[in-house]
Amino acid sequence: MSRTSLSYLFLFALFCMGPLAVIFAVSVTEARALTFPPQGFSFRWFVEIFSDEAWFTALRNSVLIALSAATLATFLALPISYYAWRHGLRFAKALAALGVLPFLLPPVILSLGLLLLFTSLTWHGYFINGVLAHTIYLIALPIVIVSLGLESIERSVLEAGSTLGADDAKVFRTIVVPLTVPFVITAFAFCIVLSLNEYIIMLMTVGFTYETLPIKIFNALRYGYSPVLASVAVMFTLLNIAVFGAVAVFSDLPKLLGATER
Amino acid sequence: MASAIRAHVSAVVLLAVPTMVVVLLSVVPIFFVFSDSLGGTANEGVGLANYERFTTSIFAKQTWFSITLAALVSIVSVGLVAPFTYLLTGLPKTWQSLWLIYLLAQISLSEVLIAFAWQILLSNTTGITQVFIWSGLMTSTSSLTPSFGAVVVALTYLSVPFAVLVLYPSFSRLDRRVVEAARTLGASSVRAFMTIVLPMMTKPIMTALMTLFILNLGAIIVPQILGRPRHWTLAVHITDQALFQFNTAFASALAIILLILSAAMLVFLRRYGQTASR
Amino acid sequence: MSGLRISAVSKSFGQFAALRDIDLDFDSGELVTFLGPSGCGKTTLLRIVSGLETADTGQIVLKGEDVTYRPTHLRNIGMVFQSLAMFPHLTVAENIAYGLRLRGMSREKSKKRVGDLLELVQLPGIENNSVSTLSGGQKQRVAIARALALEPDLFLLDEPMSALDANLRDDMQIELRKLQQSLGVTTIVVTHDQTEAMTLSDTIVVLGNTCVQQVGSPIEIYKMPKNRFVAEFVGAGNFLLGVLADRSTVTVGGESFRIGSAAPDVSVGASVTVLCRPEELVVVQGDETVLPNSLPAKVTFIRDIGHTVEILLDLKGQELLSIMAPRDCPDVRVGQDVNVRFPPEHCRAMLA
Repeated sequence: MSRTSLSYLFLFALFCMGPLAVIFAVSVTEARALTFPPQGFSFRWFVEIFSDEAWFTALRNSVLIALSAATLATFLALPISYYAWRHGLRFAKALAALGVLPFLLPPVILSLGLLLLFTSLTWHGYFINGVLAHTIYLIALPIVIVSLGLESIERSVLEAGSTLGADDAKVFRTIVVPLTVPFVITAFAFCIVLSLNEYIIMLMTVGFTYETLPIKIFNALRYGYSPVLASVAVMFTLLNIAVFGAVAVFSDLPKLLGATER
Repeated sequence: MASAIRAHVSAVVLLAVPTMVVVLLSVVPIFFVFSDSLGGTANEGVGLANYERFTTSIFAKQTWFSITLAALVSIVSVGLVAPFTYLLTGLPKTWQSLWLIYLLAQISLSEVLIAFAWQILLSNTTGITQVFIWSGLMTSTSSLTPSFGAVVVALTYLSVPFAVLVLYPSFSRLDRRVVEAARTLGASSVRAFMTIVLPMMTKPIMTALMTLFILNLGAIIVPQILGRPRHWTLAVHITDQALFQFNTAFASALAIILLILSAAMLVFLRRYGQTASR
Repeated sequence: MSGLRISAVSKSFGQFAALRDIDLDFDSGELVTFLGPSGCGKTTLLRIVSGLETADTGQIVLKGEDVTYRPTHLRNIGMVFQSLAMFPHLTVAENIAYGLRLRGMSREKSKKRVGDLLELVQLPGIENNSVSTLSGGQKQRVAIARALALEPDLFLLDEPMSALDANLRDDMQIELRKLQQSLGVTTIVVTHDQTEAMTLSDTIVVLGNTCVQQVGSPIEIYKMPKNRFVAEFVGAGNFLLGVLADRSTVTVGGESFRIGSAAPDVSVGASVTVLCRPEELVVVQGDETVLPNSLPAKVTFIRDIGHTVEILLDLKGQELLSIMAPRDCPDVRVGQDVNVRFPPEHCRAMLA
């Protein structure tokens, strides 16, 4: 690789990782106020996420919503993807397209709509509001990822199953399911990560009664700087890397993202 | 025949719940937004009052600002990302995977945290200003935020990984021998990229531009944290009207305008862009 | 005993007719190839036999039983797919044992059977390999073992060699033929490769233009093609146009040509094509007196590849090819005028 190319890659990496590197440095600084260069070294701000009740509650709320919404989104998406693929049902295909739409549009539109819907039902700031809002926002991911997984199964592999004596149910159980499970898990992981990090939908639908971590961070930011913010940022970055790293080990990430074998 | 009917019945049963959920949570809310946008705060009855207010207020100006901002950020991001993606897809697969893991992690990182990171980076006590002073580029400390530049930089930072993911499939399919052919014909690597790769990638690049445009049209957090009120986008005003001015009707009208803008872009994208499917 | 009977089978996809009125009957234990160009319907016919497609009309009778509407998984067939269709999530042993385990065979018994099958396809000891690590040839053998595991009544192979390189393909063809003969299983191979068909088959079915063009043994198909389509698809040929004067004479450009045979559906007075295979066409030095059944031509190219000499000739604008053994080849040069002789016993007339 030429020197121009390497320098470009380096500068690009600097732009992407620089801000996070600064946050890393700040998160392990001893002092409460921002200083440059950083002074002292300590993990106390990480401990505070778990020991401070407000931060821990926000974390717990986020995790509960992420787990529930990711589970719901994944299970609701499975039949849609399956019927669109196996039977080519036009209805399922239309439903898949509709399900992907909320993810493509600016989330503020749908969250306003959901806010109006929940208000009209007099559901004010319930936990379930957040779960449902994230479910509809995230359902695009399992629909797309699981469909990708299903489409990567060659038709002839299914036909081979039936020539060897498997009826439709057995083909489903012994071939389709094992080949799709990695994609289902991947989709689930994507949902968890995106839900944990999502701010605006949560703010609009449950924000005033149910503080998730991103909302708590935003509010904290308005009242000035706190090093806990940096430690939360670091924690989330590491968590995201860990999840996507696991996905990469588990499946072929370049292929999942659309690269072809070369 | 019997099995076909059975398959049909199970399809109806298994698709019933997802259909209900998707319709209830996507179609119905949008309908609510639409019908609310026609109402008024003080029950003025059904009408276009909110839209009239839109055209005669600063909100029209802020909408135009949102569009310009989104366009600017999209162009800057794709400009940065196109060469990067080309280089990325030429790397060994392990390196590609590592980069993709990182970019996915960055993409998913809460917008709030990214705004926070840039706030620190651009503040007067830490980050870039200190580096600038140290290197003699600046003489006294001053904060670079809030400012329009800060908003653009942070939104670019948010957009960059998206652009990579949109361009990645097409670039990875690019036959690199065409570049080698250009090199044997006397083109430098930069020139080969500009004259061969970019023209071949027009469609994916347009797709990336349009995708990023929609993404940035919905930007909410960065303009609030790193910008001044005059840098507020349409999306910020929607939340502000709905949550803090308690004017959901006007917020709905603004949301419908945002919806029309994004939907128009989506239609454009479907027509002229590249579908993600292989 | 009849191993497989296909009667009056037709199939179309929308407006597009894939097969029209196919009638075939094969003996038990026979190896049959469906040979034809792409799009001739050969794969569709195989898929109808396997039950993966259903015929619009007609009947499939397997070992005396009507299986036309029987779903694939109840037909007791073994099939090797063009893509080989390995189950990517299973090991070699699990792939082969898939059908056995579905039928409830015990773990130990199926393990023994898998071992035997791998022995049979000459790949012992790779039970626990992942299928993604296998080479093309190995995958091929595993696919064959998997298809044979259930001792099928019918063994079907769809373009089985297409993924292999040329050398390996030759070896596999011979091996497959030996294996099939030792097992005595009724087998259908779909191919577009005439050498493959000639190597493998008891019977070749030439399919073209949605119909059966000819059914016969390899040598019949080669020597006695029924029509020009078959003659052109199976091997190279030199063709002369004429009119059938009687069953052993064709008039070509006013001159009488003697022929060895004529296709049964040709009647006297019809326009016909006369076929002479390149290896039968004889090039004679031009200065000799004109012989019967020969025409003057000019040498345009000579390709001497050691074991044969190929001579390209120009006959009034038409290109002819003669393939001769080096010892029979006259000493000719490019540009030379020669005579080309069509030996009567190797000339066959068929409909144009």
